[in-house]
Amino acid sequence: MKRLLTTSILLGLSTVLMDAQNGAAKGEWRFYGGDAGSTKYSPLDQINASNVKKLEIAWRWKAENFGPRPDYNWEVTPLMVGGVLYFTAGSRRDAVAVDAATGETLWMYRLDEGERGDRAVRTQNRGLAYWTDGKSDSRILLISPGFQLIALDARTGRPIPSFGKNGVVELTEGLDRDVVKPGQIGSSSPAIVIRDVVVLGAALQAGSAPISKTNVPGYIRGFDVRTGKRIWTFRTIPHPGEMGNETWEKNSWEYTGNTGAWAPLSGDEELGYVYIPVEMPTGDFYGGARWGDNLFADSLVCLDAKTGKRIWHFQTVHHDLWDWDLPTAPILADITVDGKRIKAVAQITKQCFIFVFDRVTGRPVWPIEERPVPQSKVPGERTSPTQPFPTRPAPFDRQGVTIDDLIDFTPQLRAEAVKILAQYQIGPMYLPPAVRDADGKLGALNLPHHTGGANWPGGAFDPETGMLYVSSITNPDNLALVVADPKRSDMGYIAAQGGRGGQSPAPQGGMPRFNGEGQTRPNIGPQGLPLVKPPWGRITAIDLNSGEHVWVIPNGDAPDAVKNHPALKGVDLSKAGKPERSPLLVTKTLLFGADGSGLFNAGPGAGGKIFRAIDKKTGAIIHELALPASTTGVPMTFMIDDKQYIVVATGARGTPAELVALAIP
Amino acid sequence: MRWMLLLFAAAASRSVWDGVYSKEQAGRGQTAYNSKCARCHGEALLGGEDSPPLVDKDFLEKWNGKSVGNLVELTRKTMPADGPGKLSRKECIDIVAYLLSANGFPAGSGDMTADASVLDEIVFQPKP
Repeated sequence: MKRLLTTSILLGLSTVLMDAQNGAAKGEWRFYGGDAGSTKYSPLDQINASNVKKLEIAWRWKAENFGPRPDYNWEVTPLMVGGVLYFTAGSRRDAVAVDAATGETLWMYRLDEGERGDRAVRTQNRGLAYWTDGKSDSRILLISPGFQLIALDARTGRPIPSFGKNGVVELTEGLDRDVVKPGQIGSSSPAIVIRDVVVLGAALQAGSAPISKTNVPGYIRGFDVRTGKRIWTFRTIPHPGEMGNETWEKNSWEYTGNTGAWAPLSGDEELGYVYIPVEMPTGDFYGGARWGDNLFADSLVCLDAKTGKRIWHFQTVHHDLWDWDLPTAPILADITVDGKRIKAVAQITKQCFIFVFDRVTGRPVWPIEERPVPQSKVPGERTSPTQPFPTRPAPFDRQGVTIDDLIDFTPQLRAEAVKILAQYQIGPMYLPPAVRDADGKLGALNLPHHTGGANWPGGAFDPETGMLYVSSITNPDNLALVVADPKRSDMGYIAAQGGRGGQSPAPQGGMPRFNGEGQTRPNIGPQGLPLVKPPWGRITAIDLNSGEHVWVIPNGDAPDAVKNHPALKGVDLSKAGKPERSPLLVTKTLLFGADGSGLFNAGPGAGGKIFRAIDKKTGAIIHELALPASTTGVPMTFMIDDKQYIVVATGARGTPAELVALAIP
Repeated sequence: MRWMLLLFAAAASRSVWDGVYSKEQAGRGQTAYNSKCARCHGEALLGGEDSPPLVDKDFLEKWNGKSVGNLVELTRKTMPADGPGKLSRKECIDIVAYLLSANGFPAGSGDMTADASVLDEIVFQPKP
């Protein structure tokens, strides 16, 4: 009864009460990232350093029977509103409502989309968006695998008849293409609702080896949350007469696609702005068919939520040849720099920079310098002469490989690593991809590689202290191009081996190529070991008021397969770090992290069952708890009936996905 | 006994050039590939999203000397990478038939058999 009362009181609250940057309010979790500013922060403090060791599993919710086949890699973070968790589940991305205190299923919504669902461009799902008018109308917004927007009544799970066509809006229309085929465009991240407008991006087919330079553009769109009517479209690839069109030379704006926003979005209800982390254009590693800077690719774009009008933008990579598009939601952070309060936005990137701007004006908080970068020798390519380098904060992970970075656990391993390194072109950041076997080299060795130091788990921001916590991996790989067979692709050049071009000269007798039953990204170092020194996974704490790094910790110890390697007998690898990005949640009292999933392009032995409570000030591990499987989503927390819970999605190869709720009994 | 040896020798000499699958089977395999594999390996089988290509030089060099049975079993046990073990053996055989077709190996009159011992004897090799 108490819970029902809480629900009705909360439904009466206006959305205006939720500050964008102050964390999840009222013990709820109304946005994928906690608040509209994606801080992943909650002011809850019941679970703290003195009692966290007592955390136990309160309930488990199994996703196994949702969708035609079990989901293993469930990147979801549930919402919690009025005592109910809302999330997507299963390989068909059903929407589900669950009692937050017990895990009991309250309703589910399933849309069988036939072929367009089967061929979905992205099968991952990260969750939902919530909206209420503050009175009796509350809605759940779902983007289906086949790219339709569905509004559901949050109380019943039934589609809202007055929204779109019986609750469904077609999203493949209005993209300046006559035909959009099933499997060309979709989304893996939820929409965000700001000022009663549903704003959404798009995810498209990966561009490592596209069949064509022609693709569907991933425009950003705004829809009326009440009617489903499309209000505005922001062309991420501008047409003639629109700002930035001149950065697409030789009419490449006409055919180039992608340039969506596959990561979650952020927004500021008070300013009425949305912050969009834009993807790169078609062709991850070769831009011969799209000369120019390619605005608004790889840009952080601030739009007016009501009109879609561009307020400001900043391009983090010009003419991207590295697949270093923006991978995670921008984090809205109110900080104090040199005594001045700034409404800021911090963008974590794959290349291990954090770009920090005044989110009202777009002015960099610390200077960002355009510096000369290496130039490509690939025929038909035209590299940007410079790239933007933030002067502060310092990069949160290593950039570029030198001989000093190689593993040196033993003299023999070091000697082998030196030989391997000699097979590749090496250099500083923004070393462009190279044609395989050109100049007698296998290609260009990039650190970070194209899935980045950081990726979609991003980081978490504590608005009370101004600390930003970022998780990343350290794993170089080879970027090699091969000529595309014109019968199969008009791209000119495509990635060799799907962008995984590194080769270990002696894989046999070394690391297993397979992690359990599934394939992983192989190490390219000696005897199947990583090529560069640990840590291979880390968490960095950065004071965003000063831009200084405060501490760095490894993401646990080394994977078992590395620890047990015969060449490493007696070597201490307790601080080597699992080669996966720790999903982070921060509360008033603690930082929470985990080994991570190990399911997306991670190195051998990545992932693990350990969930951690970490001291926010020092990085000291306060408690470790083994969950039933690897943590696959970013954890969230909420309070109900005076009890704080932490809920996290788990799974592993062979272990179907489930939600695990932790609480102190 | 001699007859069995002859049969074995005949089987052992088969290669991907001997019309070991049917056009219809490759068509079924293409449908399955498009819904289960294309997301990572690409519609034109060129690879992508860290998945290796399934056509041309890189693919053929990797499989040269190995058997079609090996490829079927690897697919069945490890694919799709985010949830392996969920493709039926028949689906895997159809998908492999599509890969053979896409790589220019000729179709024959009948479907590729599900008999593992026969599949293990069909070898990838350069054009004779």
